[in-house]
Amino acid sequence: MQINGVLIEDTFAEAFPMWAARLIITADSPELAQQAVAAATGLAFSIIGCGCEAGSGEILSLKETPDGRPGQVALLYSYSPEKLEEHLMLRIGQGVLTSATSACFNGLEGEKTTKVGGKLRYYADGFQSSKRLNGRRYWRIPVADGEFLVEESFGMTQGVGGGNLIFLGCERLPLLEAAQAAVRAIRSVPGVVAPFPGGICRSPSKPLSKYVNVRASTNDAFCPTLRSRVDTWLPEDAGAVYEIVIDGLNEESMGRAMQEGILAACRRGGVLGITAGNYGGKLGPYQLHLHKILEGC
Amino acid sequence: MRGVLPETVLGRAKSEINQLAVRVDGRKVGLGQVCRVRLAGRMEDELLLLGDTSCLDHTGWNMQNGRLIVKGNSGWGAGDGMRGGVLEVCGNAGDCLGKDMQGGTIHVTGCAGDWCGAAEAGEKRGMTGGTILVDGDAGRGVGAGMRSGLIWVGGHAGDFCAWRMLAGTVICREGAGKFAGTGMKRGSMVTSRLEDVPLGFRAAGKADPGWLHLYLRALEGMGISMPYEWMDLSLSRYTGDHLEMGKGEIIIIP
Repeated sequence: MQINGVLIEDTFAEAFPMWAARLIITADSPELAQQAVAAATGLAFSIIGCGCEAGSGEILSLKETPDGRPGQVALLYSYSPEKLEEHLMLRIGQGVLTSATSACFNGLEGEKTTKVGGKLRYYADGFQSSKRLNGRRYWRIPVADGEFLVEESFGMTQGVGGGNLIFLGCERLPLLEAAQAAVRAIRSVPGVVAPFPGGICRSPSKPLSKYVNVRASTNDAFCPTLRSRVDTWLPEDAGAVYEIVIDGLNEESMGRAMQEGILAACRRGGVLGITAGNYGGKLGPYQLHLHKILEGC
Repeated sequence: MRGVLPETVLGRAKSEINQLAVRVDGRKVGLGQVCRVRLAGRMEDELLLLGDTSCLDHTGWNMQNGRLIVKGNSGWGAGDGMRGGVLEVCGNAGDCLGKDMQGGTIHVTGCAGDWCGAAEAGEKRGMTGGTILVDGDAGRGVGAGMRSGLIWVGGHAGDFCAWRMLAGTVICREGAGKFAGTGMKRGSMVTSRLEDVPLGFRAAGKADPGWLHLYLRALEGMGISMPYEWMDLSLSRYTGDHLEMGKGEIIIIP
């Protein structure tokens, strides 16, 4: 299949189940809300090294937030409910609570819940108080600029992680611009994050390594500088590769994000071909076939 | 008027509903003799009582779901023990509105009598959940002894508002009378005017409570026009009652 002269390989992205949480973070201004979201989702690029993948979601208008203040969504993904709970505690406690004027609400009704706010309240050292409204409990934690308001329970649901697109190009700069256009399109899909810096990963990895205790290592087949030394997967004229990793609340949103990403990159130009990473179906139950998700486009 | 609820009349013929026995001045009469009855809603799960029902007590007693609308005044103890659903009174409500309420919503478009959402005489604990919205004024003892939930008074609340309150939230748009918050253990009272701050309360400076944003937003969703200008003002906060637990607060809008 070709779109605008870009070869779309007949392969699939292999994704696996991940547990997801959706936070609604509000503050006195949109800038402060975005700052709090950035703090809550920082250093959460790869599940391998960070234990959590996270990113910012849609910017919410005053009418869409529970407290009528500017807000933004933060999405967090991890491999188990326990690990996700651990990261929610850490990231709300360290990233959101410390951000000026912020408040944090649950944005997801999930299969499981975790009482993150109910544990964070102990930070108030006995001065915490709660409010109960429409069946939800909110904790008020006194802080130096007033109160930090946090919802007691946060929902966790089974999402899909590890979806990916791999862009191959002759030149680095045009390829990067195409990948950036793809990330913008992917991030416009609700419930989806591209967790890597700027949404783009320049270091696709492979599992394990020749060194003991190294869980992942550089995917040499995609490294242009190693094409003369290894079994390369790169076409002869490819000079750079960028990968976009995608996590979504469900398979549909991930498929839509991949579709939007491919189309945006093909429109931009500078891309030789687009492929996806998989492990022959051994990694996870979800297979997002590139040709299938582009049907009808 | 115990037992006359949307869930109990569901599927019954109108004539049968009209014959449901209610007590007026100690005498048993048919409901149809006091007011006109109509079923509405897509699933016919809305019960409308058209006419003055102020002679009937306990309207919506122990209601769990559905919608009960009184187009007229309601009597003593409306919404007593309510656990869910919506009770709408398009008129005035009598004393002890929402007594022992545990959930659901009561909306009174007129005024409410004394002891709205409050503990019954001899009891320590008033309403334990749910929402009471009164568009007009409310009498004495609004939320006295209440344990949880929300009471909104669009007009003025009488004396002893939030008296001996255990927890919960009372918001009075046009102010409250004397002894407001006296004996309060926890909970919040928000008012635009207060005759005097009780003795057991201490000034805690200016406040911008985030939870109030949340409550105003939620009330707006219930059809209440919100005084959002409150959020731009510098609110005064008092904590107390320090003669009790001291974890309550009174927030005064200047």
